[in-house]
Amino acid sequence: MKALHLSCLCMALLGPLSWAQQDAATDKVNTVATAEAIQIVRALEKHLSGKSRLAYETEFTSDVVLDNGQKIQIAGTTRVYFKRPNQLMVELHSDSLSRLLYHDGTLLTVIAPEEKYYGTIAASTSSIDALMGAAKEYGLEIPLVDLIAWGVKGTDALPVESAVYIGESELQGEKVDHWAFRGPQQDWEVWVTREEEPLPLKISTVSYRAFGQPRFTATINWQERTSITDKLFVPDIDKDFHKIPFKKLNPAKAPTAREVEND
Amino acid sequence: MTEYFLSKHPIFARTLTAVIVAGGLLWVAGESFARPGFGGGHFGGPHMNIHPGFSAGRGMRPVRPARPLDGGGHRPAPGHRPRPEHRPPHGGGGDHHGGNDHHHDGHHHGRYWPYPRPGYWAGAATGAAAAAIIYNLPAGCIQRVVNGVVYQECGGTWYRPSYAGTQVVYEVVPAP
Repeated sequence: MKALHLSCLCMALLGPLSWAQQDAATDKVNTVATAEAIQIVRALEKHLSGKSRLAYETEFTSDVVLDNGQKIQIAGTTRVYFKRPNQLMVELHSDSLSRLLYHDGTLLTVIAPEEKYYGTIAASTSSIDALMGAAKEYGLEIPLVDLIAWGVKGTDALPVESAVYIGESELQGEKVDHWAFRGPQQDWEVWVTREEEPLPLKISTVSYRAFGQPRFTATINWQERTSITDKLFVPDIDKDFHKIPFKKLNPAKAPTAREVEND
Repeated sequence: MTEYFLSKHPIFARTLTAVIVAGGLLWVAGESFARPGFGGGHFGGPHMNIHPGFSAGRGMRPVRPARPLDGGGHRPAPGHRPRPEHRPPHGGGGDHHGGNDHHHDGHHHGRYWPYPRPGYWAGAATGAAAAAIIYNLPAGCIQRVVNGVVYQECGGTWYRPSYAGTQVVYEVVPAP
């Protein structure tokens, strides 16, 4: 019986010790992976921000968490046409809504074609600042339009706290590397081409702080040869469309990350 | 054997109890952390951008529920209790067409798009009056334009449409 007690105690004491060793080894691997991943993310940022124009289409799915905790999935597509610094057009069609967004250097216009409404926000800025301002002030978020801001000077770098290399896979007939990152607000994954100037072909996020930990996933189809005419950035609003205002986000009600953590 | 072992080793037993209790507390804390919660009347959703500046404000990420779901801070194990049913918003999920409106017919997907609760919008009523903002109009609304402002009149109630983020919402207003 005594021997049994001793072996129990030994296991209890030595178990955590060997876990600690394993943890240290894993940490080392992760640190190396993170350093390599950050290089790749920076290469992505450099490549995209170096382009004077961007054209891409996405197919996405997004979780929507219902008020009873049930998680459903909606799907949609976007088309993004962008000429630096201040000409942007986005077409968003999803199962639940369609929107057209234009920025012509002075106005941000959002059209709801089914409801026949449109709204405008004054934005004599770059399109990046226009969208960031609209997100902050009016809660306007367009799926995966942030690619226009990746690596742009004066904006934040993409948040990477740690990274894991998941493996190799194939998308759109190309070999891609699949990386998984953790950031302060969300976990995110990217599937990156192996060219010298890499492109993301798929992106996924998990908002782990949000109720139900919803996921958003999009595949990206780059349209490098699409012609982009200036006409594309001029909103075409039918006469029977009516103008509606944007509601402002109430800063007092919007919780900070810290409040969420302490909640 | 276990009882014998624990009775012979009271310190070990106490430590074990403390570890179990602490673990339990951490699990509960973890659950509540993983589910920062949400109030009724809105859908939660993920970030749809990686760049932090493009996310629709932290207001989109709801915090503590107005009332706890299932009466508790964590989800009951599957099968323990009946799970709450979801009631589609305002008339069965988005068929908000009617009257002489100009909306196209035939989409029945409702407005299943992440949206924040009304309290996150400046000037919006909260609590009991929060229902003054709706996301889908009832049937039989007529579009009216008064002094260049568009309204929807639904059975004597007037709504003014506006954008709340990407969503179109309808707020009850006095008849103009």
